Amino acid sequence: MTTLVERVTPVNPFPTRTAVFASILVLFALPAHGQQQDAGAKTQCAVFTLQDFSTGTENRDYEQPITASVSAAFEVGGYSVIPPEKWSSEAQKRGLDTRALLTESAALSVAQAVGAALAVTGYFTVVDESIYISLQCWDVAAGALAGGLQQTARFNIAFYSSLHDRVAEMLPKIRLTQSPALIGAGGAPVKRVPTLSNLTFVSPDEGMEVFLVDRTRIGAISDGKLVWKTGGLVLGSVFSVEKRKRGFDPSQETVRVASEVRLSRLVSEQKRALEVDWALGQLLGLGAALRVYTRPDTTFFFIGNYLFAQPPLNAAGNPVFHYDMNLGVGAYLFFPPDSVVRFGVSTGAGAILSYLTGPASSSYTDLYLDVFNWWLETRVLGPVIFLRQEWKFTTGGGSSLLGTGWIMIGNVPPVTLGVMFRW
Amino acid sequence: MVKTLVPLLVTVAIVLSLASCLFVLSAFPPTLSQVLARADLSAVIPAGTGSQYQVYIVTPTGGEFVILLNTNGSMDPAAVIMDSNLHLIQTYTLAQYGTWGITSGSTLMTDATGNVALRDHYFTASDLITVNQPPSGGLGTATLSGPGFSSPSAVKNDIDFQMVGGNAFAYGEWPSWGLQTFLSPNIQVNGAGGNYNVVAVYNVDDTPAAGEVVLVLNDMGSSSNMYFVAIPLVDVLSNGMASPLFSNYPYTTLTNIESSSVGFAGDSLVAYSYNSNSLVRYSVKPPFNQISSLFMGNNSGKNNGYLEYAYKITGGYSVVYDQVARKLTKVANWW
Repeated sequence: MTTLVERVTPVNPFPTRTAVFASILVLFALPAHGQQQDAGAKTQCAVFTLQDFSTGTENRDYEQPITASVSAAFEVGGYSVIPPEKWSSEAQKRGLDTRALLTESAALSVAQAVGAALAVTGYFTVVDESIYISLQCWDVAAGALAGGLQQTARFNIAFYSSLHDRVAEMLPKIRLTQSPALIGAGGAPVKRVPTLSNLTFVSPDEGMEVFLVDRTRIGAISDGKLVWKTGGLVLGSVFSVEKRKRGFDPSQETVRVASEVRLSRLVSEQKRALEVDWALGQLLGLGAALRVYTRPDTTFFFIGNYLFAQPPLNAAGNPVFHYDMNLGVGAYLFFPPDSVVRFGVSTGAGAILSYLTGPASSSYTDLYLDVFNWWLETRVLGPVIFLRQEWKFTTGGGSSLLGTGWIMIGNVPPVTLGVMFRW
Repeated sequence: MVKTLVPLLVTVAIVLSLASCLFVLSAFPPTLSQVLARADLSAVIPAGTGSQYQVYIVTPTGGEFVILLNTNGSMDPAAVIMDSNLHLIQTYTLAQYGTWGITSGSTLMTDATGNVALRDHYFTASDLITVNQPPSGGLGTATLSGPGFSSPSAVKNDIDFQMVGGNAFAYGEWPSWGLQTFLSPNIQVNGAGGNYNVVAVYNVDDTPAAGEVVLVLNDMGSSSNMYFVAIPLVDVLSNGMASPLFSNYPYTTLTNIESSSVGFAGDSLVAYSYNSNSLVRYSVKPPFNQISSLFMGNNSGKNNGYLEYAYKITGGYSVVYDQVARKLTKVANWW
């Protein structure tokens, strides 16, 4: 699956205008009438309307321009595309609407009736500014999948051009079993593309639901497996699924088509966590913090404390003990819970109690605002390990030792290294 | 074997030294663990007037005191007398000065017999300890005015300096205040390659006749350059000091130094450097090499610009006076 990064113009908020513009581009992409080859020498091809599976109906307008773009690519690639009026009347005779033509049997039946050697079906979904498109090319005579493509791309005006190119790249790989007389530039009847009609997902997460990225539900894991009637997927191709189960974090996984696909374990939702901290500037000490999540693995309240000693510089001095207490709120940003690396921010307030031992025995309090903390964490080594930078501002006051200002260790804000245990 | 061990030992030494630095690093000033006593004088010294006071550690015979002296000379308390643990003994008021015949007090000096002079009268240790005890006597001839600098050696008070009209005057050995000797205006600090303030004078040797005096000067104006000048004590006592100073005596220039932090701590000179945010110890002898330093960090608690330091000249501790908070902290020397 290819992800395109080019971006010319955002699709939204002018979908209609973009659709019209795309249609114009497609018309220009079609070969000039005089340049067309003799239809009799070409492979007949029925390109059924590519269906919009997006949430809502605002992307329905894109069905025609996207289908036209695919048709244009087949025309340019040497196929003769059967006019939609011809196959749609045939579908109506059978009581089939355009969405019903997505099924293999319906598509093959209609394609055969209109004399096509190749039937093209497909669908797309638009999420935010991305589009996922899936095409299936059916060998009518063999009743089997002859090729296909999946693509995720930025959905802007450049998408049509890239789709045209991808279809053009796919065409030479199509192999048909039809007699040579009906085969044109599409290829030679030498080899069928291996496809898979039944795919079994295997997972230890009993009851886990599996969805396609377009949110089409495949089913749920039962007795450790889920059998999916694919309708024909090219062996070895890749696709993505989303896994969901109550009490676990949703997760996306990209898998390769095989008879048995082993899905990775879900990570259970974390509602509590305990941090064990070690901070620069407080190395003769140790801290701990408790997190209580309001949204599992995403937002949380925390209460923390850190006890550390400041050693005397020589025998004339005496150790000083500091006890840092703080509380606040935090949130993870950008990366989902099962990411290898996550980023988070937090804020809050706290107080550092200091106790001087020896002849000057006395205690002091420094109040501070935990203005902004940010951290990175990773599970790559097993347990969650994080590194956090803390911007704390002391408010001063009568019993303050630090006065008013940013807390710095040398010339840098405090940095904390920690391990987190979650449950 | 040796080839393997040497790099290993060097590595261990480097790691350990780095680790020790890291363990000492803290948001809190490193001298916090050296604190021996603290005193809050915010109820004694009115808010906003803290900068009018100068802190001294004096050791007259029979006692050891920390004195905050009002250098303005026109407000109460005129002086705050504390013991060496920063316990408040008493405060002197302008009204008391008037009763005792002291015109006003802006200069503090100590003498060889173990007395403390405030302007034109001297106090014994007993006078300082006893509440409302008048001074033991007057100075006799000249009154002390303007900034004065006592520079007792480790064994006795043997030299004092005073600034008058931009010139520094040195007082020699005083068996008593009544036998003071003016050595004429013999230190020309102005018009000799620049204009300077006398920050301090330290007699750094216990053998006065053969020893040296370190004269600490800084630039007048915005520059924070500071100069340590080594002058043989015999030149001072014989009225034989050569002028201009910088052409005749060894000296060193220090940049970006807080002048209120300079002190003589018995075995070294100490000053706060803004260049390194550190307290730095210097040798007492030319070329005044740096001996060691202590990084104070950005969170030394307060801006050093309003901290004053006074070091006990026989060593052991210093007293830091926060002019804004009007608090005193007694700190054991960190080296």
